[in-house]
Amino acid sequence: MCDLRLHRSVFAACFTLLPLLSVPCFSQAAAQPETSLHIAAAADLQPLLPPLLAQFEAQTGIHAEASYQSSATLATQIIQGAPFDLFLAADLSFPQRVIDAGRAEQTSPLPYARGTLVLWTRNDSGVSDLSLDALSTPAIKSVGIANPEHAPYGRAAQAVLQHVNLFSAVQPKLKVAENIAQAAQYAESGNAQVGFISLTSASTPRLKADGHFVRVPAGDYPPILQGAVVIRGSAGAAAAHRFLNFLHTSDVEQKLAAQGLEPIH
Amino acid sequence: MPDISIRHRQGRFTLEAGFSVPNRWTVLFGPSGAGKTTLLRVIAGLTTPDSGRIQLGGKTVLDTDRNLSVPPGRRSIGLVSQQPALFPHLSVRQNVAFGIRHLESNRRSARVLEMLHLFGAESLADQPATQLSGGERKRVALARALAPAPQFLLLDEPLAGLDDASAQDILSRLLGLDIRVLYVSHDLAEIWRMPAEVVFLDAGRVTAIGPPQEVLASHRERLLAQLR
Amino acid sequence: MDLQALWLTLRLAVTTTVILLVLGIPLSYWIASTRAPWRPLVEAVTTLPILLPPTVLGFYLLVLLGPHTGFGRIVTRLLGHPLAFSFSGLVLGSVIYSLPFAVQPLAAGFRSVDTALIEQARLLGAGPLRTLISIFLPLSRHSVVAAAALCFTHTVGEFGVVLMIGGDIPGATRTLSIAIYDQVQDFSYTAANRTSLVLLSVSLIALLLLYARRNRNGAPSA
Repeated sequence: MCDLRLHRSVFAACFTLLPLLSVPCFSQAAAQPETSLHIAAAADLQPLLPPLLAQFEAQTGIHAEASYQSSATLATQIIQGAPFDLFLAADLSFPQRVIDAGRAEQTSPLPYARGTLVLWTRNDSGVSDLSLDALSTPAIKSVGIANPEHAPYGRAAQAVLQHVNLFSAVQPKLKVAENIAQAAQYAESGNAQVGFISLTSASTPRLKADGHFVRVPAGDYPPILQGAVVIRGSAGAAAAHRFLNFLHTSDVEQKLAAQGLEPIH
Repeated sequence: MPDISIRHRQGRFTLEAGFSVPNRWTVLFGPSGAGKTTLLRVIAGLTTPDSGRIQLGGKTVLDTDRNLSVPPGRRSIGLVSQQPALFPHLSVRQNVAFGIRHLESNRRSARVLEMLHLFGAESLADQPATQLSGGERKRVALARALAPAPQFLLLDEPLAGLDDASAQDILSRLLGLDIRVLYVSHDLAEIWRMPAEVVFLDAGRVTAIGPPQEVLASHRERLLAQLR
Repeated sequence: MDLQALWLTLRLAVTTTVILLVLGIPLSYWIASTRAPWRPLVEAVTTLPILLPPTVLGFYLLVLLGPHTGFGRIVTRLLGHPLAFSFSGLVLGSVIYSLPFAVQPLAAGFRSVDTALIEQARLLGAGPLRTLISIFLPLSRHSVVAAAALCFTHTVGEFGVVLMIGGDIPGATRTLSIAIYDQVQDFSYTAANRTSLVLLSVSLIALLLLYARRNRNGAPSA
């Protein structure tokens, strides 16, 4: 019976495989230009950042990659040493935390855009009256929202509901998503009949085709100022500054505005 | 000073035994539940008693006062239980060879065949252990236990469940061995043939030691009660 | 892009599984055969990762390996770079996360081995290592296979830990499961479906290979 030999050969094979697997040669060999700029980007930027990154690379030759997560998670990771160069958050509080932890170059966040909150629903959702008041009616059974505890758009949405005195009426219907992109998903997939999402998400081709929205009056919620910081001592800090300048060129600002991120002046 | 002197509590059962093993064969006799298997396990080193002292062949293998306990593998003991416990993933040959790996390959093979021959099981050498009958398993288990040439052979009712012919055959072969045997039994009939000193164990205590006739005579009542 | 994520996921799953078998077999052996009074504590600790939400586990690992703890600083100095946000960090996270999935089946398999066999092995002079290799492992082969299968697929599907401690860095820490998440967030459902199919196929093929091998070796021994 070859059991002993079988086990020995299995173990031997594994031990020789192991060092091979630790070598990331394969992935590096793929025709991937070296990334010079690592951006930690808030979830709401996911629809519009990729083409901008491509444009940035075409103009400057700097290859940038972005990781999209909630601003809260990104802030945590950056504070714990994540190798990002630039943090584009969905508000000012998270960049501030990074600053307070001593990980940022700036002493206060650099606002780079202003977000807009909208109320969105699928065209086939059967919701005829898409408005804030309608939220408390029985016709609307579920309302998607980003987590008000730590997502800037979620906080804004909660502020809106409180401002129009509908929070307690609507609260039982809230479907809380981890971040604003997920809130858009809840609405887009129909899991939430209507959703408080970002104008950025609502402006994507897919959501434009599948549904319609109304803007939430700006006066109903504190402005969603999205701020950025450059990570102190990071490898791509210089590239990060170039990207920030790039964001403020009028051409890019127009593009951002067209997709729901108003420039700040 | 008796060779074996132990005291052990297991739940509500207390085993307290002391006796010597001067003869070639010692029979541990008694009704079921008397503690015979426990005693065997203690001698083999598989169970450590609460207190006691065991000397085998002049060597102290257990002394709880001195915190001394020689591991089972070094007590020069072979044990064959009622359930032979052959290694199911190995062949007969590999089973018998298990305890003599230190021998050089040729000597090892020779020894394996010698042991199998001793118990009439040479023909089984290359069979998987799982394909043997009850009697065949006992033979292989005995061959395996004896292969490392232990000084003592502990047998826990080895003939139980065998047909008469196999039982007689195996017993004859055992009797022909030149080795100290501690033989556990609760079967009256078989112990008459043995050149043994009988140690009568009852409810955890040694109540008699002596030649079969004496011991059995003094326990007539007890034995008759058993048979009823 | 999928290929990078696929290769990364495979590397991570295989590395984690191998490490867990190498660590898990002796650990489970000890758990199954020891009579030390602190065995229940060890068992409980090795089961803990199941109870922690993966993102939370990832978070605590992140903190442990980060610049704010002595441990993290030492490791960073030794390696030259932070352990988190690298492949090695993912491996560490995966190993901890899937530890119970190795230890449970292995310990159960070892425990199911007939004590009488172990005792005979001891009587015949086998030490703990020989008993492990010659008796325990061959007789609990199916447990080793189960442990390998569980660890592999568990790691392939891992998300929360990888996201937290990896940072979703393309090529370095963006595994298949995270790639799917990104694609879904991006509403690229076609791409997400395709990547999901890849992920499922990988797991299925791995499982088939493992279980077919077990069949070929005959029914598990008694």
